[in-house]
Amino acid sequence: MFGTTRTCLRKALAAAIALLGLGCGSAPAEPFAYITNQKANTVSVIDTASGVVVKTLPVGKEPAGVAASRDGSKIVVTNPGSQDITILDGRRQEVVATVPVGQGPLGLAIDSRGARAYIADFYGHYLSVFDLSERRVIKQIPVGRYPAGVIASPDGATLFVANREDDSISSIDGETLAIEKTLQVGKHPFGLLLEPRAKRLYTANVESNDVSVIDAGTLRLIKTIPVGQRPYALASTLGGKRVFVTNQYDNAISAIDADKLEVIGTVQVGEYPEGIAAHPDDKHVYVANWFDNTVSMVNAETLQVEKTILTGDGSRAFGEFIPLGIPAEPPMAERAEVLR
Amino acid sequence: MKKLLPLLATTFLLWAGLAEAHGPTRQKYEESIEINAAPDKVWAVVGDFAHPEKWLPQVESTTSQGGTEKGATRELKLKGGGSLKEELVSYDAAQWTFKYKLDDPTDPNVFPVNNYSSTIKVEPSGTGGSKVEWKAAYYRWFLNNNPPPGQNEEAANAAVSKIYKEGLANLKAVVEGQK
Repeated sequence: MFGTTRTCLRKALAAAIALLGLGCGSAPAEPFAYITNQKANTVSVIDTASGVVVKTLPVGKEPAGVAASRDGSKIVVTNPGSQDITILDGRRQEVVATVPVGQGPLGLAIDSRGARAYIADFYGHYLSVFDLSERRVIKQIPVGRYPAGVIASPDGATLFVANREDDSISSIDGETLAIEKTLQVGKHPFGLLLEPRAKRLYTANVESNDVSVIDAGTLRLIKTIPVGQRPYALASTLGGKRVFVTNQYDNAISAIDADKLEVIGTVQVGEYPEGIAAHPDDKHVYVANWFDNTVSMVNAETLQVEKTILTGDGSRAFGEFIPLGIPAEPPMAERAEVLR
Repeated sequence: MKKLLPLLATTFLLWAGLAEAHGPTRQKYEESIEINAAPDKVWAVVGDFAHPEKWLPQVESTTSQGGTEKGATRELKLKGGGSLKEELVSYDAAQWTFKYKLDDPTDPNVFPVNNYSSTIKVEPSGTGGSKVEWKAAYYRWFLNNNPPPGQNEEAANAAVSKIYKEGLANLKAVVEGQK
Protein backbone atom coordinates (compact mmCIF):
# COMPACT_ATOMS: atom_id res chain seq x y z
CA MET A 1 0.00 0.00 0.00
CA PHE A 2 0.95 3.61 -0.40
CA GLY A 3 1.97 4.32 3.18
CA THR A 4 4.48 1.52 3.34
CA THR A 5 5.95 2.41 -0.01
CA ARG A 6 6.31 6.03 0.78
CA THR A 7 7.93 5.56 4.16
CA CYS A 8 10.27 3.17 2.47
CA LEU A 9 11.00 5.61 -0.33
CA ARG A 10 11.63 8.41 2.08
CA LYS A 11 14.17 6.32 3.94
CA ALA A 12 15.83 5.38 0.70
CA LEU A 13 16.08 8.99 -0.35
CA ALA A 14 17.37 10.04 3.03
CA ALA A 15 20.13 7.53 2.64
CA ALA A 16 21.39 9.93 -0.04
CA ILE A 17 23.01 7.21 -2.12
CA ALA A 18 19.69 5.70 -2.99
CA LEU A 19 20.96 2.59 -4.67
CA LEU A 20 18.10 0.88 -6.41
CA GLY A 21 16.21 -1.72 -4.55
CA LEU A 22 16.31 -1.59 -0.77
CA GLY A 23 13.01 -3.40 -0.87
CA CYS A 24 11.31 -0.41 -2.37
CA GLY A 25 11.06 -1.69 -5.88
CA SER A 26 12.79 0.05 -8.73
CA ALA A 27 11.25 3.50 -8.56
CA PRO A 28 13.53 6.12 -10.03
CA ALA A 29 14.55 8.52 -7.27
CA GLU A 30 13.55 11.52 -9.36
CA PRO A 31 10.91 10.55 -11.86
CA PHE A 32 9.58 12.48 -14.81
CA ALA A 33 6.27 14.34 -14.88
CA TYR A 34 4.18 14.07 -18.06
CA ILE A 35 2.03 17.10 -18.83
CA THR A 36 -0.59 16.97 -21.58
CA ASN A 37 -0.87 20.28 -23.42
CA GLN A 38 -4.34 20.22 -24.85
CA LYS A 39 -4.02 23.08 -27.30
CA ALA A 40 -0.51 22.20 -28.48
CA ASN A 41 -1.18 18.47 -29.02
CA THR A 42 1.98 17.66 -27.09
CA VAL A 43 3.24 16.22 -23.82
CA SER A 44 5.92 18.12 -21.88
CA VAL A 45 8.27 15.75 -20.09
CA ILE A 46 9.59 17.40 -16.93
CA ASP A 47 12.65 16.00 -15.17
CA THR A 48 11.53 16.54 -11.58
CA ALA A 49 15.17 16.50 -10.38
CA SER A 50 16.09 19.60 -12.36
CA GLY A 51 12.59 21.01 -12.80
CA VAL A 52 13.04 21.56 -16.51
CA VAL A 53 11.20 20.27 -19.56
CA VAL A 54 13.63 17.82 -21.12
CA LYS A 55 11.45 16.79 -24.03
CA THR A 56 8.24 17.78 -25.81
CA LEU A 57 6.54 14.87 -27.51
CA PRO A 58 3.88 15.19 -30.24
CA VAL A 59 0.80 13.11 -29.37
CA GLY A 60 -2.79 12.90 -30.68
CA LYS A 61 -5.33 15.71 -30.81
CA GLU A 62 -6.34 17.64 -27.71
CA PRO A 63 -4.56 15.39 -25.21
CA ALA A 64 -6.25 15.56 -21.82
CA GLY A 65 -5.82 12.52 -19.58
CA VAL A 66 -2.53 10.95 -18.59
CA ALA A 67 -1.42 8.11 -16.34
CA ALA A 68 2.00 6.69 -15.56
CA SER A 69 2.59 3.08 -14.58
CA ARG A 70 4.02 2.84 -11.10
CA ASP A 71 7.44 1.71 -12.36
CA GLY A 72 7.51 4.61 -14.79
CA SER A 73 8.01 2.42 -17.85
CA LYS A 74 4.67 3.14 -19.53
CA ILE A 75 2.80 6.38 -19.87
CA VAL A 76 -0.65 6.50 -21.47
CA VAL A 77 -2.15 9.73 -22.81
CA THR A 78 -5.78 10.09 -23.93
CA ASN A 79 -6.52 12.20 -27.00
CA PRO A 80 -10.26 12.96 -27.10
CA GLY A 81 -9.80 15.08 -30.26
CA SER A 82 -8.46 12.17 -32.32
CA GLN A 83 -10.30 9.48 -30.33
CA ASP A 84 -7.15 7.55 -29.58
CA ILE A 85 -4.49 7.05 -26.95
CA THR A 86 -0.76 7.56 -27.19
CA ILE A 87 1.55 5.17 -25.36
CA LEU A 88 4.93 6.57 -24.32
CA ASP A 89 8.06 4.72 -23.28
CA GLY A 90 8.87 6.23 -19.91
CA ARG A 91 12.51 5.12 -20.02
CA ARG A 92 13.42 6.60 -23.37
CA GLN A 93 10.76 9.34 -23.42
CA GLU A 94 9.48 8.35 -26.84
CA VAL A 95 6.11 7.68 -28.43
CA VAL A 96 5.77 3.95 -29.03
CA ALA A 97 2.19 3.56 -30.22
CA THR A 98 -1.06 5.33 -31.07
CA VAL A 99 -4.18 3.21 -30.76
CA PRO A 100 -7.82 4.21 -31.51
CA VAL A 101 -9.94 3.95 -28.33
CA GLY A 102 -13.64 4.78 -28.15
CA GLN A 103 -15.43 8.04 -28.91
CA GLY A 104 -13.97 10.34 -26.30
CA PRO A 105 -11.21 8.86 -24.15
CA LEU A 106 -10.67 11.16 -21.16
CA GLY A 107 -9.76 10.15 -17.60
CA LEU A 108 -7.76 6.99 -17.07
CA ALA A 109 -5.89 4.89 -14.56
CA ILE A 110 -3.22 2.22 -14.95
CA ASP A 111 -3.30 -0.72 -12.55
CA SER A 112 -0.37 -1.08 -10.17
CA ARG A 113 1.17 -3.93 -12.21
CA GLY A 114 1.14 -1.84 -15.36
CA ALA A 115 -0.90 -4.48 -17.20
CA ARG A 116 -4.07 -2.56 -17.99
CA ALA A 117 -5.28 0.96 -18.53
CA TYR A 118 -8.88 1.76 -17.59
CA ILE A 119 -10.10 4.60 -19.79
CA ALA A 120 -13.32 6.54 -19.22
CA ASP A 121 -15.10 7.37 -22.46
CA PHE A 122 -16.79 10.72 -22.00
CA TYR A 123 -19.06 10.41 -25.04
CA GLY A 124 -19.49 6.65 -25.15
CA HIS A 125 -20.46 6.45 -21.46
CA TYR A 126 -18.33 3.38 -20.82
CA LEU A 127 -14.99 2.38 -19.37
CA SER A 128 -12.58 0.85 -21.89
CA VAL A 129 -10.40 -1.89 -20.43
CA PHE A 130 -7.16 -1.68 -22.38
CA ASP A 131 -4.56 -4.44 -22.30
CA LEU A 132 -1.19 -2.69 -22.38
CA SER A 133 0.83 -5.62 -23.71
CA GLU A 134 -1.63 -6.58 -26.45
CA ARG A 135 -2.42 -2.90 -27.02
CA ARG A 136 -6.13 -3.43 -27.55
CA VAL A 137 -9.43 -2.85 -25.80
CA ILE A 138 -10.51 -6.12 -24.23
CA LYS A 139 -13.79 -4.93 -22.78
CA GLN A 140 -16.15 -1.96 -22.58
CA ILE A 141 -18.00 -1.58 -19.29
CA PRO A 142 -21.11 0.63 -19.52
CA VAL A 143 -21.02 3.20 -16.70
CA GLY A 144 -22.88 6.44 -15.90
CA ARG A 145 -23.22 9.43 -18.20
CA TYR A 146 -20.13 11.41 -19.17
CA PRO A 147 -17.58 9.50 -17.10
CA ALA A 148 -14.47 11.54 -16.30
CA GLY A 149 -12.02 10.49 -13.57
CA VAL A 150 -10.92 6.88 -13.01
CA ILE A 151 -8.83 5.36 -10.25
CA ALA A 152 -7.64 1.82 -9.50
CA SER A 153 -6.98 0.55 -5.99
CA PRO A 154 -3.30 -0.32 -5.44
CA ASP A 155 -4.13 -4.02 -5.13
CA GLY A 156 -6.13 -3.91 -8.35
CA ALA A 157 -9.22 -5.30 -6.65
CA THR A 158 -11.45 -2.30 -7.28
CA LEU A 159 -11.83 0.45 -9.87
CA PHE A 160 -13.72 3.66 -9.34
CA VAL A 161 -15.19 5.97 -11.95
CA ALA A 162 -16.78 9.42 -11.64
CA ASN A 163 -20.02 9.69 -13.66
CA ARG A 164 -20.02 13.44 -14.14
CA GLU A 165 -23.51 13.96 -15.56
CA ASP A 166 -25.11 11.51 -13.11
CA ASP A 167 -23.50 13.19 -10.08
CA SER A 168 -22.34 9.75 -8.97
CA ILE A 169 -19.41 7.41 -8.66
CA SER A 170 -19.36 3.68 -9.31
CA SER A 171 -17.11 0.96 -7.97
CA ILE A 172 -16.18 -1.87 -10.32
CA ASP A 173 -14.77 -5.27 -9.43
CA GLY A 174 -11.25 -5.43 -10.92
CA GLU A 175 -11.55 -9.13 -11.68
CA THR A 176 -15.10 -9.63 -12.92
CA LEU A 177 -15.24 -6.07 -14.33
CA ALA A 178 -18.82 -5.79 -13.09
CA ILE A 179 -20.21 -2.68 -11.41
CA GLU A 180 -20.54 -3.27 -7.69
CA LYS A 181 -22.04 -0.11 -6.24
CA THR A 182 -23.02 3.40 -7.25
CA LEU A 183 -23.20 6.38 -4.91
CA GLN A 184 -24.60 9.86 -5.42
CA VAL A 185 -22.02 12.54 -4.60
CA GLY A 186 -21.82 16.31 -5.26
CA LYS A 187 -22.67 17.96 -8.57
CA HIS A 188 -20.52 16.95 -11.54
CA PRO A 189 -17.78 14.86 -9.94
CA PHE A 190 -14.68 14.99 -12.15
CA GLY A 191 -11.36 14.06 -10.55
CA LEU A 192 -11.00 11.13 -8.15
CA LEU A 193 -8.45 10.29 -5.47
CA LEU A 194 -8.00 7.10 -3.52
CA GLU A 195 -6.20 7.73 -0.26
CA PRO A 196 -5.21 4.20 0.77
CA ARG A 197 -4.02 5.02 4.31
CA ALA A 198 -7.57 5.70 5.42
CA LYS A 199 -9.11 3.79 2.50
CA ARG A 200 -11.06 6.80 1.46
CA LEU A 201 -12.16 7.97 -1.91
CA TYR A 202 -12.37 11.69 -2.69
CA THR A 203 -14.29 13.30 -5.57
CA ALA A 204 -13.86 16.87 -6.83
CA ASN A 205 -17.37 18.16 -7.61
CA VAL A 206 -17.05 20.90 -10.23
CA GLU A 207 -20.58 22.32 -10.00
CA SER A 208 -21.19 22.17 -6.25
CA ASN A 209 -17.76 23.54 -5.28
CA ASP A 210 -17.08 20.75 -2.81
CA VAL A 211 -15.26 17.48 -2.26
CA SER A 212 -17.08 14.27 -1.28
CA VAL A 213 -15.18 11.97 1.08
CA ILE A 214 -16.28 8.34 0.81
CA ASP A 215 -15.44 5.11 2.59
CA ALA A 216 -13.86 3.21 -0.30
CA GLY A 217 -14.84 -0.17 1.09
CA THR A 218 -18.52 0.38 1.84
CA LEU A 219 -18.93 3.25 -0.64
CA ARG A 220 -20.70 5.33 2.01
CA LEU A 221 -20.42 9.09 2.14
CA ILE A 222 -18.37 10.26 5.15
CA LYS A 223 -18.33 14.00 4.62
CA THR A 224 -18.76 16.79 2.07
CA ILE A 225 -16.08 19.48 2.35
CA PRO A 226 -16.67 22.92 0.80
CA VAL A 227 -13.60 23.98 -1.20
CA GLY A 228 -12.90 26.69 -3.81
CA GLN A 229 -14.70 27.44 -7.05
CA ARG A 230 -14.79 24.72 -9.73
CA PRO A 231 -12.80 21.98 -8.03
CA TYR A 232 -11.34 19.70 -10.68
CA ALA A 233 -8.74 17.15 -9.55
CA LEU A 234 -7.11 15.78 -6.39
CA ALA A 235 -3.83 14.40 -5.03
CA SER A 236 -2.64 13.26 -1.61
CA THR A 237 0.75 13.48 0.04
CA LEU A 238 2.54 13.55 3.43
CA GLY A 239 1.76 9.89 3.95
CA GLY A 240 -1.85 10.48 3.01
CA LYS A 241 -2.34 13.08 5.72
CA ARG A 242 -2.89 15.94 3.33
CA VAL A 243 -5.14 16.09 0.30
CA PHE A 244 -5.05 18.83 -2.33
CA VAL A 245 -7.71 19.88 -4.81
CA THR A 246 -7.35 22.28 -7.74
CA ASN A 247 -9.93 25.07 -7.96
CA GLN A 248 -10.13 26.25 -11.57
CA TYR A 249 -11.83 29.60 -10.93
CA ASP A 250 -9.73 30.58 -7.92
CA ASN A 251 -6.30 30.04 -9.51
CA ALA A 252 -5.56 28.16 -6.32
CA ILE A 253 -5.43 24.76 -4.69
CA SER A 254 -7.07 23.94 -1.36
CA ALA A 255 -5.15 21.88 1.22
CA ILE A 256 -7.31 19.47 3.22
CA ASP A 257 -6.30 17.84 6.49
CA ALA A 258 -7.19 14.20 5.81
CA ASP A 259 -7.79 13.44 9.50
CA LYS A 260 -9.97 16.43 10.37
CA LEU A 261 -11.43 16.55 6.85
CA GLU A 262 -11.22 20.33 6.79
CA VAL A 263 -9.57 22.83 4.50
CA ILE A 264 -6.48 24.12 6.31
CA GLY A 265 -5.09 26.44 3.67
CA THR A 266 -5.02 27.55 0.06
CA VAL A 267 -2.09 28.08 -2.27
CA GLN A 268 -2.24 30.49 -5.20
CA VAL A 269 -0.87 28.78 -8.28
CA GLY A 270 -1.24 29.70 -11.96
CA GLU A 271 -4.42 30.54 -13.81
CA TYR A 272 -7.01 27.78 -14.31
CA PRO A 273 -5.31 24.94 -12.41
CA GLU A 274 -6.43 21.49 -13.55
CA GLY A 275 -4.37 18.31 -13.17
CA ILE A 276 -2.53 17.66 -9.93
CA ALA A 277 -0.21 14.80 -8.96
CA ALA A 278 1.89 13.85 -5.96
CA HIS A 279 5.64 13.37 -6.25
CA PRO A 280 7.02 10.13 -4.74
CA ASP A 281 9.20 12.22 -2.39
CA ASP A 282 5.88 12.52 -0.52
CA LYS A 283 6.49 16.25 0.03
CA HIS A 284 5.45 17.93 -3.18
CA VAL A 285 2.50 18.17 -5.50
CA TYR A 286 2.68 19.36 -9.10
CA VAL A 287 -0.17 21.39 -10.59
CA ALA A 288 -0.86 22.00 -14.29
CA ASN A 289 -2.16 25.54 -14.96
CA TRP A 290 -4.27 25.40 -18.12
CA PHE A 291 -4.47 29.11 -18.91
CA ASP A 292 -0.88 29.97 -17.96
CA ASN A 293 0.74 27.00 -19.74
CA THR A 294 2.79 26.26 -16.66
CA VAL A 295 3.25 23.71 -13.89
CA SER A 296 3.57 24.80 -10.25
CA MET A 297 5.66 22.72 -7.88
CA VAL A 298 4.09 23.13 -4.45
CA ASN A 299 5.62 22.16 -1.12
CA ALA A 300 2.88 20.22 0.66
CA GLU A 301 4.13 21.09 4.15
CA THR A 302 4.90 24.80 3.82
CA LEU A 303 2.19 25.41 1.19
CA GLN A 304 4.62 27.47 -0.85
CA VAL A 305 5.09 27.38 -4.61
CA GLU A 306 8.74 26.42 -4.99
CA LYS A 307 8.98 26.47 -8.75
CA THR A 308 6.94 27.41 -11.80
CA ILE A 309 7.82 25.54 -14.98
CA LEU A 310 6.82 26.70 -18.46
CA THR A 311 5.18 23.83 -20.38
CA GLY A 312 2.90 24.02 -23.45
CA ASP A 313 -0.40 25.59 -24.50
CA GLY A 314 -3.33 24.38 -22.42
CA SER A 315 -1.56 22.26 -19.79
CA ARG A 316 -4.22 19.93 -18.45
CA ALA A 317 -2.53 16.74 -17.17
CA PHE A 318 -5.69 15.08 -15.84
CA GLY A 319 -4.50 11.98 -13.96
CA GLU A 320 -1.55 10.56 -12.05
CA PHE A 321 1.11 12.09 -14.27
CA ILE A 322 4.14 11.20 -12.12
CA PRO A 323 5.13 7.54 -11.56
CA LEU A 324 4.80 6.79 -7.86
CA GLY A 325 7.10 3.77 -7.64
CA ILE A 326 6.32 0.09 -7.29
CA PRO A 327 4.63 -0.84 -4.03
CA ALA A 328 6.57 -3.34 -1.95
CA GLU A 329 4.81 -6.70 -1.74
CA PRO A 330 2.60 -6.47 1.31
CA PRO A 331 2.95 -9.30 3.83
CA MET A 332 0.18 -11.91 3.64
CA ALA A 333 -1.62 -10.61 6.71
CA GLU A 334 -1.77 -7.14 5.26
CA ARG A 335 -2.72 -8.47 1.89
CA ALA A 336 -5.88 -9.98 3.28
CA GLU A 337 -6.76 -6.60 4.68
CA VAL A 338 -6.21 -4.56 1.53
CA LEU A 339 -8.99 -2.52 0.15
CA ARG A 340 -11.98 -4.47 -0.92
CA MET B 1 -23.49 6.28 -62.48
CA LYS B 2 -26.75 7.74 -61.36
CA LYS B 3 -26.67 5.45 -58.38
CA LEU B 4 -23.04 6.10 -57.67
CA LEU B 5 -23.34 9.84 -57.21
CA PRO B 6 -25.63 9.80 -54.18
CA LEU B 7 -23.45 7.07 -52.73
CA LEU B 8 -20.36 9.19 -53.19
CA ALA B 9 -22.11 12.17 -51.69
CA THR B 10 -23.20 10.11 -48.70
CA THR B 11 -19.69 8.78 -48.25
CA PHE B 12 -18.30 12.28 -48.36
CA LEU B 13 -20.85 13.55 -45.86
CA LEU B 14 -20.09 10.67 -43.58
CA TRP B 15 -16.38 11.39 -43.82
CA ALA B 16 -16.91 15.12 -43.28
CA GLY B 17 -19.09 14.34 -40.29
CA LEU B 18 -16.50 12.03 -38.81
CA ALA B 19 -13.78 14.61 -39.27
CA GLU B 20 -15.55 16.77 -36.73
CA ALA B 21 -17.08 13.93 -34.79
CA HIS B 22 -15.47 14.65 -31.52
CA GLY B 23 -16.59 16.34 -28.39
CA PRO B 24 -15.92 19.91 -27.42
CA THR B 25 -12.66 20.99 -25.84
CA ARG B 26 -12.23 24.10 -23.79
CA GLN B 27 -11.27 27.12 -25.82
CA LYS B 28 -8.98 29.89 -24.70
CA TYR B 29 -9.07 33.47 -25.92
CA GLU B 30 -6.89 36.44 -24.95
CA GLU B 31 -6.98 40.01 -26.12
CA SER B 32 -5.18 43.07 -24.77
CA ILE B 33 -4.89 46.76 -25.51
CA GLU B 34 -2.65 49.66 -24.46
CA ILE B 35 -4.49 52.74 -23.21
CA ASN B 36 -2.98 56.19 -22.72
CA ALA B 37 -4.46 56.72 -19.26
CA ALA B 38 -3.53 55.78 -15.70
CA PRO B 39 -4.76 52.37 -14.48
CA ASP B 40 -7.17 53.88 -11.92
CA LYS B 41 -8.84 55.90 -14.68
CA VAL B 42 -9.23 52.76 -16.80
CA TRP B 43 -10.41 50.75 -13.80
CA ALA B 44 -13.10 53.35 -13.02
CA VAL B 45 -14.70 52.43 -16.34
CA VAL B 46 -13.92 48.77 -16.93
CA GLY B 47 -14.10 47.79 -13.25
CA ASP B 48 -17.71 48.94 -12.91
CA PHE B 49 -19.29 45.49 -12.93
CA ALA B 50 -22.80 46.92 -12.79
CA HIS B 51 -22.39 49.07 -15.90
CA PRO B 52 -20.56 47.36 -18.76
CA GLU B 53 -22.55 49.55 -21.19
CA LYS B 54 -20.06 52.30 -20.26
CA TRP B 55 -17.56 50.63 -22.56
CA LEU B 56 -19.02 47.54 -24.20
CA PRO B 57 -20.60 48.75 -27.46
CA GLN B 58 -22.86 45.68 -27.80
CA VAL B 59 -24.61 46.38 -24.48
CA GLU B 60 -27.66 48.62 -24.35
CA SER B 61 -28.36 48.52 -20.62
CA THR B 62 -27.66 46.46 -17.52
CA THR B 63 -29.53 45.53 -14.39
CA SER B 64 -27.43 44.23 -11.52
CA GLN B 65 -27.59 43.03 -7.96
CA GLY B 66 -24.97 42.57 -5.25
CA GLY B 67 -22.50 45.33 -6.14
CA THR B 68 -19.00 43.93 -6.39
CA GLU B 69 -19.42 41.12 -3.88
CA LYS B 70 -18.58 37.61 -5.01
CA GLY B 71 -21.83 36.14 -6.35
CA ALA B 72 -23.15 39.52 -7.58
CA THR B 73 -25.15 39.21 -10.77
CA ARG B 74 -25.85 41.34 -13.81
CA GLU B 75 -28.09 40.98 -16.83
CA LEU B 76 -26.89 42.59 -20.00
CA LYS B 77 -29.53 43.68 -22.50
CA LEU B 78 -27.91 43.61 -25.90
CA LYS B 79 -28.43 46.07 -28.73
CA GLY B 80 -28.72 43.24 -31.23
CA GLY B 81 -31.49 41.62 -29.19
CA GLY B 82 -31.32 39.03 -26.43
CA SER B 83 -29.63 39.19 -23.08
CA LEU B 84 -26.85 37.56 -21.08
CA LYS B 85 -26.81 36.78 -17.36
CA GLU B 86 -23.48 36.87 -15.59
CA GLU B 87 -22.18 36.26 -12.09
CA LEU B 88 -19.15 37.72 -10.34
CA VAL B 89 -16.61 35.06 -9.37
CA SER B 90 -14.02 37.34 -7.75
CA TYR B 91 -13.36 41.07 -7.55
CA ASP B 92 -10.10 42.70 -6.46
CA ALA B 93 -10.12 46.49 -6.78
CA ALA B 94 -6.60 46.75 -5.32
CA GLN B 95 -5.24 44.56 -8.10
CA TRP B 96 -7.58 46.06 -10.73
CA THR B 97 -9.00 42.69 -11.71
CA PHE B 98 -12.23 40.72 -11.65
CA LYS B 99 -13.50 37.40 -12.87
CA TYR B 100 -17.05 36.51 -13.88
CA LYS B 101 -18.97 33.68 -15.46
CA LEU B 102 -21.94 33.38 -17.75
CA ASP B 103 -25.09 31.53 -16.74
CA ASP B 104 -25.86 28.55 -18.98
CA PRO B 105 -27.58 28.00 -21.24
CA THR B 106 -27.25 31.04 -23.45
CA ASP B 107 -29.23 31.58 -26.64
CA PRO B 108 -26.86 30.22 -29.31
CA ASN B 109 -27.99 32.98 -31.67
CA VAL B 110 -26.89 35.59 -29.13
CA PHE B 111 -23.63 34.12 -27.81
CA PRO B 112 -22.86 30.51 -28.88
CA VAL B 113 -20.72 29.47 -25.90
CA ASN B 114 -21.00 27.21 -22.89
CA ASN B 115 -19.32 27.19 -19.52
CA TYR B 116 -17.87 30.62 -20.23
CA SER B 117 -15.69 32.43 -17.69
CA SER B 118 -13.73 35.60 -18.16
CA THR B 119 -11.09 37.71 -16.42
CA ILE B 120 -10.33 41.39 -16.93
CA LYS B 121 -7.13 42.87 -15.56
CA VAL B 122 -5.69 46.38 -15.75
CA GLU B 123 -1.93 46.81 -15.37
CA PRO B 124 0.37 49.82 -15.40
CA SER B 125 2.34 49.98 -18.61
CA GLY B 126 5.56 51.87 -19.24
CA THR B 127 5.07 55.59 -19.29
CA GLY B 128 2.03 56.19 -17.09
CA GLY B 129 -0.35 54.30 -19.36
CA SER B 130 -2.21 51.06 -18.89
CA LYS B 131 -2.53 47.68 -20.43
CA VAL B 132 -5.88 45.91 -20.26
CA GLU B 133 -5.90 42.15 -20.57
CA TRP B 134 -9.15 40.27 -21.21
CA LYS B 135 -9.14 36.49 -21.11
CA ALA B 136 -11.84 33.90 -21.66
CA ALA B 137 -12.24 30.16 -21.19
CA TYR B 138 -15.30 28.47 -22.67
CA TYR B 139 -16.66 25.59 -24.66
CA ARG B 140 -18.59 25.72 -27.89
CA TRP B 141 -22.37 25.89 -27.44
CA PHE B 142 -23.07 22.34 -28.66
CA LEU B 143 -21.75 19.89 -26.09
CA ASN B 144 -22.22 16.63 -27.98
CA ASN B 145 -20.56 15.24 -31.07
CA ASN B 146 -21.29 16.73 -34.51
CA PRO B 147 -22.20 20.36 -33.77
CA PRO B 148 -24.42 22.14 -36.30
CA PRO B 149 -23.00 25.28 -37.95
CA GLY B 150 -23.21 28.23 -35.60
CA GLN B 151 -22.72 26.04 -32.56
CA ASN B 152 -19.21 24.73 -33.21
CA GLU B 153 -15.82 25.94 -32.01
CA GLU B 154 -15.37 28.30 -34.96
CA ALA B 155 -18.66 30.06 -34.16
CA ALA B 156 -17.80 30.35 -30.48
CA ASN B 157 -14.32 31.70 -31.17
CA ALA B 158 -15.60 34.20 -33.74
CA ALA B 159 -18.25 35.51 -31.32
CA VAL B 160 -15.79 35.92 -28.45
CA SER B 161 -13.15 37.50 -30.67
CA LYS B 162 -15.60 40.07 -32.05
CA ILE B 163 -16.83 41.15 -28.62
CA TYR B 164 -13.32 41.35 -27.17
CA LYS B 165 -11.78 43.26 -30.06
CA GLU B 166 -14.65 45.74 -30.36
CA GLY B 167 -14.98 46.03 -26.60
CA LEU B 168 -11.35 46.85 -25.91
CA ALA B 169 -11.11 49.26 -28.84
CA ASN B 170 -14.16 51.09 -27.51
CA LEU B 171 -12.81 51.05 -23.95
CA LYS B 172 -9.68 52.78 -25.23
CA ALA B 173 -11.74 55.37 -27.10
CA VAL B 174 -13.99 56.02 -24.09
CA VAL B 175 -11.16 56.36 -21.53
CA GLU B 176 -8.85 58.39 -23.76
CA GLY B 177 -11.78 60.61 -24.77
CA GLN B 178 -12.35 61.53 -21.11
CA LYS B 179 -9.09 63.48 -20.91
